[in-house]
Amino acid sequence: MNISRFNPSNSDIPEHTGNGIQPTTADSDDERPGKRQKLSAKTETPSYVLSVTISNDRNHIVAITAEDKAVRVFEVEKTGELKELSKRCMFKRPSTVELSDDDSTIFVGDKFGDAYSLPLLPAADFIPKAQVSRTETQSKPAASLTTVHTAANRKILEAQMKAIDAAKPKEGLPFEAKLLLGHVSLMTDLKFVTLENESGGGKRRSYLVTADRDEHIRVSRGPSQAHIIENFCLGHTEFVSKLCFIGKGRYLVSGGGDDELFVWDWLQSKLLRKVDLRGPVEACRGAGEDSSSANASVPDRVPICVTGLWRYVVSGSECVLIACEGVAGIFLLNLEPIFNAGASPQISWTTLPGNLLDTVVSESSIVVSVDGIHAKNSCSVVRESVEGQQLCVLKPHGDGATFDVDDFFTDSNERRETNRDQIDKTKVAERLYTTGLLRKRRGQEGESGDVEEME
Amino acid sequence: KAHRRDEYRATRHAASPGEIGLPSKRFYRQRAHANVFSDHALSYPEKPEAWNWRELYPGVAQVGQEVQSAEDSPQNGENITPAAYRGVEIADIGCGFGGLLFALSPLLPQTLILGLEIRSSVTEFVQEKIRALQGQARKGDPTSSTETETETATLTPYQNIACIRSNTMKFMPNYFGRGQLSKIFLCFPDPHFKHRKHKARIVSPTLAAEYAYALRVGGVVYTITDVEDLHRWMVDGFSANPLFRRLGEEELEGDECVRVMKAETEEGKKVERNGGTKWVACFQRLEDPPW
Repeated sequence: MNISRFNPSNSDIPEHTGNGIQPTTADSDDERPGKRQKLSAKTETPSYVLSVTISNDRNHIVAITAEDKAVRVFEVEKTGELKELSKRCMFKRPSTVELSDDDSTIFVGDKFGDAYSLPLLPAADFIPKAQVSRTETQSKPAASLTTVHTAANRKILEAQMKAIDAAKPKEGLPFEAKLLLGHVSLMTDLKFVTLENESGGGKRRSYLVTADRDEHIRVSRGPSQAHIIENFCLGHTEFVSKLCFIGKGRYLVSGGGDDELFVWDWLQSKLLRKVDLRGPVEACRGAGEDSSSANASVPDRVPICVTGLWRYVVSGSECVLIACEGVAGIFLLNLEPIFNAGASPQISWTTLPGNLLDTVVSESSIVVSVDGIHAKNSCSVVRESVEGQQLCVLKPHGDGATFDVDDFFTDSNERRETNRDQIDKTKVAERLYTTGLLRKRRGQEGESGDVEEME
Repeated sequence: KAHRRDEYRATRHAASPGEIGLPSKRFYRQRAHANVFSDHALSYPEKPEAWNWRELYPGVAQVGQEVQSAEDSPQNGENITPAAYRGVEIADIGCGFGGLLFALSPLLPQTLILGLEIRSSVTEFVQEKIRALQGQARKGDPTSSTETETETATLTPYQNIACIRSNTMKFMPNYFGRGQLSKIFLCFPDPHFKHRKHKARIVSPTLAAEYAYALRVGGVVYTITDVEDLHRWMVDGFSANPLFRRLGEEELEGDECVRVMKAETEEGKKVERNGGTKWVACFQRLEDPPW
């Protein structure tokens, strides 16, 4: 199968794009074949794609890029090419993107913890708000001479008052954007969900569920009343990196830097179950070591970082596929035991030819992209030769708990090859493996920087 | 200098609470600003239910036990319910050297008040001062310590206040559940003059949502500052949230809390000396609209 001839009108379109972190120059997602070319033609320094999502009607793709802090909307043309419709630069670097059910609104969460809503297709007649009032207030210092100040600050204030500088006021975004909510922490994931006929009221209610680096999961009302927090789902002891709805949105699976996945009845902010992830991850790493890289000694306790959670239905039962950073395997959690309050659920695993980066789930198959540059189960050891098999198709094995690697996308694209040679292999890890950096460095932090004397 | 500090604190720790005098501020001074975005070395509860706040109010825990053993129903009216059941109801966010805590304590003796402060030294000062005051109160009135054993569930002076180190901008939901608080005080917060630093201000339209979450319907947020620009910023921040209604001058007239906040806070006194203006704005939590 040749990816450059990928046809979006084909019936076998993957159901959902994953939100992996992939550089555009080493692009391996089958849904955006033309974009890399466009970006490199336009910008001198490449801007890396942080996350991509596709609209429900399959006509649009929304991507967020790092260096230019932009939200880009692409139209999927009949030929499979992507056409960039708009590029909107935010104040802060976006970290997560989501589309509303009706595809009309983009939700973007950023590095500073704020979430904005933008229309998918900007209205042509939007006039940016001129912030006149701010210009006036800005021209004089905020403090006055009677403000309580240290001597040094007072000097600065006096200098400020002398120089009535015409400092440029911060302008609003030059496009329609609404600030919905904010965490005082990096927002790691944002999900939009609509519940139907909840508690028999017959009302459709939408919620925004956001996760941050400070272990919080917040449930807010939908965009029109996003300032109302319904509750928090607290219990994680490390960062939360991914959220995934299951059971028609009734339940939430969350994962991050903890050794377990958490399953929530999120509307009641009730933790239903913690499912151990460390055991399966270590078993999977161990299995990978035997076959290929016996020398690569894996430290005893490698921290676990969940980088992806995807809903997946196999023979009628709901499952979640799990990706962990720097682990050459895919994990499957069958949730039926949780719904039926039965036996404790187990996570099964399948080894892959390289570290799992991202996954796309369709009805019949799963497409995964794996890291061909780094050795299996390592975020730093570079392979001697770059593996060509970076996209694999997985088919469920008979037992429904594991997968067989069914097919590879052969890499026949010349341009890809040349691009790959230009990549500094040692730099790739900086782009691919960023989730682990969310972990807080506990213990080694002294108070020395904290305690400074005033006088 | 640091050495003298440590020595001073060590001797205080060794002394029993009944014997020590009030701590001296000069051993606890700390830079007036803290980076709210850094991780610090904070410890905080996983969630409100996992937070042992009783530990902070030893006197209250005793009273609570008494009441429990007497099988008093905690549900016999909002005002009669002992503090031990209601938990912390007033939060002084950024309590600094604790002037407001010490002034509020005798005004609202049956309500648990918690000061939250991000600077470690300053927190320690407030904790020391509370310990000393509690000790003095017990010494001055020996009968009060036995009072907990009688059926009247009253607290001895200064047993309804406590102070912890915390970054409320990040971790308020870890301490307070939905609608737990009746009052939140934001007194003389760090003004963060630079435009670039405005995100670090304690009030913002997005943080107003978190205050609304922790406040019960009818609860009030009290803000005061000597910086007009910050005052406008805070008013804008809370007004942008439809869950808050600004209280008018006449509504605040009889409120003791406003008077105390103006006169008794450490910063309030400083501003008084400097002849500055104090800007007060209070906001009431309204009911969640239907949806």
